[in-house]
Amino acid sequence: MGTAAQEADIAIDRVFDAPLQLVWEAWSDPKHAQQWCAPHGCTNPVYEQDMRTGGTLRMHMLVPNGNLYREEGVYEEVAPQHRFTRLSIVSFGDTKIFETRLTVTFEAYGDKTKLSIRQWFLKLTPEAAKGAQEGWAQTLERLSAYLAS
Amino acid sequence: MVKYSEPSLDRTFAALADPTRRAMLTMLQGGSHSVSALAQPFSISLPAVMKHVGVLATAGLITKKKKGRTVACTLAPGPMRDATQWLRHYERFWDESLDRLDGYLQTIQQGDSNGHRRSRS
Repeated sequence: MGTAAQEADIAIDRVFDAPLQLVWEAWSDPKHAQQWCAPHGCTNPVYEQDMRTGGTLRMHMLVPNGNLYREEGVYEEVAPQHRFTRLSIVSFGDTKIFETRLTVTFEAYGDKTKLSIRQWFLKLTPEAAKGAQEGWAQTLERLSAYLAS
Repeated sequence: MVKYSEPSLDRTFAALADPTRRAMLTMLQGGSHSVSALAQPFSISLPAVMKHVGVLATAGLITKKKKGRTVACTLAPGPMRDATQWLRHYERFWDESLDRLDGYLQTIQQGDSNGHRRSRS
């Protein structure tokens, strides 16, 4: 994949008080993932995925101001209950904004589970027009506003 | 987000997207380098190096200054800082989602112990 050696743009490690199998299910089962995979106040009206190597992801995220973001991806590598890597394109409206690769590793710590999230922003698409970018920036502003509340 | 810096972000990311350019920026974190010094670790032609340097300069990531017959390249921290800030916002996206995951895991575990799978409302 050529990115593993490259330092991730985002690196988050976190331990969850739940067994590995359940945490894996929360990610891999789209019905579960749909319930949590967005910031507070946002929803996922569409969350479809086939989390197997070569399987696809189709996810819509609706933010409170009505903006809709779409993520379409392919699972490049899935090792059940261990790790997955997916390559996605995130769009705002009809405009593709950026391409990103996400790797999440699951490790059991007794009854707890450690997640390691690594994300690379591969490129901003050429069609990422100024308007789309402002929309994205707006969402990000909103995200930080939620944190403050 | 810092409003005035918004338009340069796409160029910043485009410039950062290339591994060679990222490596060049890493080199420049150690101080200024001439274009030929920047070219040394890479097995690419000098015109190709010049092109990378041009992209980095256009994105405002580096500044070029002519010194006699050589061109010195220096890291310009501004856009890098904006890019870092953008990434920090994205990190918050994960932090919030993972908070929700945490709550959701507790809910479904309680549901399990009550004999109800996914009792979440």
